Amino acid sequence: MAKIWPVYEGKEPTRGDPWVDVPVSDAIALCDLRTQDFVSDLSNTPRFGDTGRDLWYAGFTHVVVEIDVEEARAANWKPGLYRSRLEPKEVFRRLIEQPLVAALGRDKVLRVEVAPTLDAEGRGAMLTTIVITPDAIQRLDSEAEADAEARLRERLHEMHVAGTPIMNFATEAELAEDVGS
Amino acid sequence: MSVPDPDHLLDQADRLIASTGGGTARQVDLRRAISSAYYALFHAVVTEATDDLVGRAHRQTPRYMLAYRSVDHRTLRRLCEDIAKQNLPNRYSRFAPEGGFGPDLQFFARALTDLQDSRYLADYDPLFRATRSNASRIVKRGRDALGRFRDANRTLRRAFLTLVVFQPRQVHQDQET
Repeated sequence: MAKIWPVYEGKEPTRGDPWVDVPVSDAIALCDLRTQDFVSDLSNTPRFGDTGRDLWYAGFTHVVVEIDVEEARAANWKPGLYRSRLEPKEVFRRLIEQPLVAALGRDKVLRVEVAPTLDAEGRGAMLTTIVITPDAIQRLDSEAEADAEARLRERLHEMHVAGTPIMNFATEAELAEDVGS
Repeated sequence: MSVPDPDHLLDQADRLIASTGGGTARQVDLRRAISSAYYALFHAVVTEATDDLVGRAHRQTPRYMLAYRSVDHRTLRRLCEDIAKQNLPNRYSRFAPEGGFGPDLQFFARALTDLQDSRYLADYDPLFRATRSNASRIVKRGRDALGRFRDANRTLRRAFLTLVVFQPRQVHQDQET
């Protein structure tokens, strides 16, 4: 397995746990990782930006993937820490997309967008817009939808993201519509 | 008292979604369709709970109305959130069926929570963009959930309906005697 860490610049690069612990092949795909993204071995914590300052308040600025010795050997990669070229926001989006595609099928899901919102209780929630193929809604069954929702909740729980996910389905054509009242 | 028929609410939602044919649907129609789908589930629960408690024969009485209006969206949601969890919170331990509420009611509970959140966005959030795809899947999920609710084991359903009307007190364990 490989750990995907969201990382701050400065003295203290991480707080708490990684976002997820996933198979190495998934981590490579999710983070568009290349061997040349290697930044340090496992005994050294990589730091970015002004390492003399606390910069956590600026939010996550990098994504680092930790591949341990055994996993690296199996995947034919060098063990260590790799910095993804992708923005944390994009990796986060992909991590949300992954369980939805697994449950609903790549033949139905084109991409997923996320935005903050509120649930019916006024608590912070995540509006998850699932952009689907034109005929997907006719092929979608409620069991698969419930499974997608359950997997998404599980992923958010794993990532320590609070709040209810609210699913919203749309085709590209619907998103492009000039909506009236 | 003429209680709203859940199937009619879902039919109304279908009509609203179809009302603009193949063209761009009006936001107000799609939003109202989403809202109706949620209310179909809400009224299905409240009607059956009140029928159980007061009696179907008394639907025209103030007592029926009093019981009907006692159920609010927040209470129902919280119960549904709890039922959807793998492990029920302790406060239900004496009132829940031994093996839990079963897959039909869990399916219903998850759908109700989803539809309530969607209804909240549809009714109140000006940034929310309703689509025909989403409204259609919400109505479908509502219809499936209503079917699962009706198919659920009667004993489990009655246990659920009892908790809709009567919520267990939050008592500390050391105070329970």
